[in-house]
Amino acid sequence: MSVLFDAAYAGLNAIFVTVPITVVVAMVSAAMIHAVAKAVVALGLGKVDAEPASGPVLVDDETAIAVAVAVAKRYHDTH
Amino acid sequence: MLNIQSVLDVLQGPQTLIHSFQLDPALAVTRIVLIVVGLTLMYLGRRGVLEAVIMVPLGLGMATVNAAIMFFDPLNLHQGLGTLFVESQAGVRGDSVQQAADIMTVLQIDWLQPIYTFTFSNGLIACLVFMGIGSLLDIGFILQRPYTSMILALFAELGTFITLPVAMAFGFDGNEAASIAIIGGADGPMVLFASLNLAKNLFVPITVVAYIYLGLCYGGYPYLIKYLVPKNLRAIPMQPPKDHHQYTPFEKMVVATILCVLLSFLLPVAAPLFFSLFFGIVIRESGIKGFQELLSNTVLYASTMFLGLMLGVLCDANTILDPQVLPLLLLGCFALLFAGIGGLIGGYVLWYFSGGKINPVVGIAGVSCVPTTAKVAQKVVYADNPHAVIMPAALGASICGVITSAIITGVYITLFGKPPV
Repeated sequence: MSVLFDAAYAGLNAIFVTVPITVVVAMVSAAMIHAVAKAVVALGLGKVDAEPASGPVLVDDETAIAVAVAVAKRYHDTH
Repeated sequence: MLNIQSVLDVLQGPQTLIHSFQLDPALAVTRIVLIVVGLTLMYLGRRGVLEAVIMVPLGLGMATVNAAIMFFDPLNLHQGLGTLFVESQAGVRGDSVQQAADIMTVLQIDWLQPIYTFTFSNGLIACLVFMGIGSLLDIGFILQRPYTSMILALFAELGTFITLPVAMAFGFDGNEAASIAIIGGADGPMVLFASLNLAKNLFVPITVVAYIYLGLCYGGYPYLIKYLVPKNLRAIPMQPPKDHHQYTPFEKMVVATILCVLLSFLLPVAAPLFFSLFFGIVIRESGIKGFQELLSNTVLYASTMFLGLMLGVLCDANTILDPQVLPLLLLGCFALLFAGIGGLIGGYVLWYFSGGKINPVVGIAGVSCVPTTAKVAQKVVYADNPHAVIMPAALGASICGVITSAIITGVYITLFGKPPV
């Protein structure tokens, strides 16, 4: 019986370590989420979605075909 | 000459059953019971009482694998009886050369062994499920109420915390007890990941028990809510927060990326799970529709289907008759019961401190099991007040439940085990 109590006591000791670490990490995460959310709004990062993308982007099939046809035509015209 | 014996020699399923009744009646009875249980789980999944996406493949797998036992045991692990489905104990021998030979043998024989060896037993399938779940999650629900969601999720980890000493009192060592306690986090992939890292010897029974119970959450938690929360409180409608801001996809993507890096930095042992979840969220918000559809449809459904199927075929009579399974069944039930109670206590605490503006039922969603518990919370509230919408807050708590479960998994692995080499 005392072996079982010793084991349970060891488990309780582990909880006294686990609970504070978990609470601290979770609340730090919540604070980070809150701070980053405020920061992205303050920095106006939401506007990125409204602006046309620069640099390489994924395009749909129709655009890709149109670009390929235009490039081929230009190559044909210049050679 | 054709006689009963020659017919039985061909029909090995019935013959192995007769053989088991003669030598080990418990095994024979368990086979029959598991076939019935498998068919019942399928039926309940199809009726919507339990989660169909897990229960239909799991039930069919469980019923079939217990029917299809034959005189076949190439690794001599089960007294001459086996199936052509999967061998979860391949590689249990100490001799590494023999281990490798065993694994190659079963890879060439058992048709589901490649899925088990290359996706299930290394945790890949857990990460794939997480990617799929991530691609369905709107992190905006957490951004609206980060502290509320996280506090509810922390309360809902009550089962994960108190099951640890109880499991140790049952005689399990620290690693095993921690793996069992993670069932209280109600996240299947997390249980799979934790037991693989902490208690490989109990990996199969813990995972099977956890997933069966997660399916039962869907049917059991509504009763727990109705028992612990009076009708007038269940009907409280929830308003959006005062400083409500509609976050754009790019803003959500930035937050998800920073959170992924931060949590992986704090708890590297759980980094594969963090990465998988946030990768799914980032893909959802990135606007790359092809990837989002791939993850939310093909990857999520394929991995969930094979996960359910694998769990079903792992429920053979040999596994269930393992003497360690009974305490696992009790502890799993205990963990999820107290997770639900903890979540509702959290709901009550926030209801009190918010001056009655928060519906306490939302606490059950902190148990995670995305999005099942959020659906359960909304369903119960809807029955009492069709105008009360708590789904956004419930989903926030549910997603935070995934984060807190991953944090605890990381802490348990750091405290009790070693990261995989």
